[in-house]
Amino acid sequence: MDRDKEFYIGWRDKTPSSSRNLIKMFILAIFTIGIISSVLIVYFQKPFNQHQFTFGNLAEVEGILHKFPKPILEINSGDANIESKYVLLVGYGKFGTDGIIAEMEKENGDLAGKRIKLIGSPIKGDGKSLLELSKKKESLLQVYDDTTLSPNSPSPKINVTLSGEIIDPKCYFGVMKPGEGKIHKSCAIRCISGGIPAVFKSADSMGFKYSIILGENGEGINEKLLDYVAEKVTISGFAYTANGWDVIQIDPKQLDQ
Amino acid sequence: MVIIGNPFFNNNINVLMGINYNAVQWNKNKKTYDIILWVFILFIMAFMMSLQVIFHPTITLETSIIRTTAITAFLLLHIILMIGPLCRLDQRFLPLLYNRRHLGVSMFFLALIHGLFCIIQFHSLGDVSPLVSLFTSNGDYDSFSDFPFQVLGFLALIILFIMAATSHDFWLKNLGPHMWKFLHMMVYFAYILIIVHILTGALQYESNSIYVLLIAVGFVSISSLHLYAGIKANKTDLTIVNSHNKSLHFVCTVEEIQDDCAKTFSYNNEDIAIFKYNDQLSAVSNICKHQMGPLGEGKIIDGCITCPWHGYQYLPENGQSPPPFNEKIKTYQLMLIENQIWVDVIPRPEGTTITPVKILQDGSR
Ligand code: FES
Repeated sequence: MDRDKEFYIGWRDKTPSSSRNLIKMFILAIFTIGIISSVLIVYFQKPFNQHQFTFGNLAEVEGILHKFPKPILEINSGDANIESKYVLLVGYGKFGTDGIIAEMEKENGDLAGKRIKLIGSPIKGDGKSLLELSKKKESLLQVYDDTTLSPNSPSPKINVTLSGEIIDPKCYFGVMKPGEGKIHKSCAIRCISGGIPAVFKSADSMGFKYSIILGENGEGINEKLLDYVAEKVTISGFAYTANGWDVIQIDPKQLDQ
Repeated sequence: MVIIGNPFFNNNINVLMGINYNAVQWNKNKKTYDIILWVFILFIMAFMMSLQVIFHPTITLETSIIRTTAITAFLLLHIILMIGPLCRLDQRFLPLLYNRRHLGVSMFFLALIHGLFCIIQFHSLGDVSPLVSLFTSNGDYDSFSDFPFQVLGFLALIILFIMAATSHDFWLKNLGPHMWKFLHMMVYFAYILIIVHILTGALQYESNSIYVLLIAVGFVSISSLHLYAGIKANKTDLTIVNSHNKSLHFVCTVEEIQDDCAKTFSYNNEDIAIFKYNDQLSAVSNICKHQMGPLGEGKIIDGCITCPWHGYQYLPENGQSPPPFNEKIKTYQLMLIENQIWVDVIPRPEGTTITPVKILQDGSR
């Protein structure tokens, strides 16, 4: 320790000039390090997707409600924020629509196949559309008196094996950037646990494929998927398309192996 | 002892030395410190947010805030951890140490914003309460790559909170310096938690190796600085070369100590500083009562031993802070044989007066 240096007492002194110069250099070094590391950190981040959640910008949409594979509104009148004809419905926050639709039906009877008007927040990305029923049961604006339509028949089932990741479509197509992978894992678990349809994201030559995951008998199996959300997994089952969405029916026990 | 212009009744030192407490006692040095600190914080955050918009225009504001606050806080943590060893290596860095607690509290606030935004984004509005979700949604506690990394961040945030909340001298006084020091040494544990939080979290998603490299550079810089400062400090600790009786030890010669400075010496658990001033010698504990700062690296100013860290003062002949202060440190008996300084390593009770040893012209007593 060099004793000849000027001695500094914080409560009394002006910083000695020898200290002052060294500290100036130190501050300069810290700024430089801060700037360089910021550039490196931001530049090398994984890019974000273009998906959109038009939060607070509610849209009114009219269409036929299908309950299979999950509540989907097949729309006939469009909104600029809706890309696809088959709009997957999700609840407010990290919830699915089960409770909301049950409440709507208490007052209006079975809504399956009925033409209805909903208000909600559109979510869109990669050619898919979702609608958050932001006002819960008040999201149902109108039920039309048309005759009930029978459901569209699904495409033939084929046996497939897919590799990819279980995602929650609300975050993935919506506001979360990123809405997949490890960073988002616990949030996706929360959403799938809350009833938002579990979707399997896999890739093929056409791009990404998004399949709603159901059990072998077409039932919801969200609870059995929670341990595998946001991990790289391979699943086998029957795949088909129903009401505009790809579906894969699996035996969840295969995931435990 | 002559006290000339010693501002004992200056409010800054009154507060500093525990006579009364204000929320924060400002002085010009602290203000300059905080201005530079916040210019740095705001500049880095604004710079990083602009880069996000340029390179990744589809980023959301929430993600940008989460990332920017985390990175800035982590950068500040590196600075905080470097200040200690830098000051031991070169006293000219001491002004950085003087107000390090504001650096710590600022870092905690940034980390808190990061944590709150994450808890709101990832865990709120769900089927269980956010805190339950934090601990239970991801149950892969037995895996590294899938580990619930947010729990680690949360624990680190709790440590930082305890440190920020107890950073005021009020707590130092009430917890006692040893407990306080222990709490504040937990920052190293928090640092490790945060590194593992990043490795098992963000870096499981971001795969570019630049991130591991940056963390490694930070870690190596901090550990090597600590190691180097530790080795240097050990070298300056004197070894015992001779003993008269069980407790009397030879330390050094009079010429080896510069005027108004000290030579330090450790024996078993005794950390002793021997000061030379006005042609006399006194020995006191090397450990400051405030935050255990190294008194032997301080100086005699206005007749008082002055701690290099925050300027606490003690009279060399009795180890007492001059009135109205009441801090006391241990004192030690010295003996001068020709020009050799010998110390009795058995301490006298804190604040015991011991007549200073006079250095005569020919170097002997
Ligand atoms: S004055 Fe703070 S440690 Fe000595």
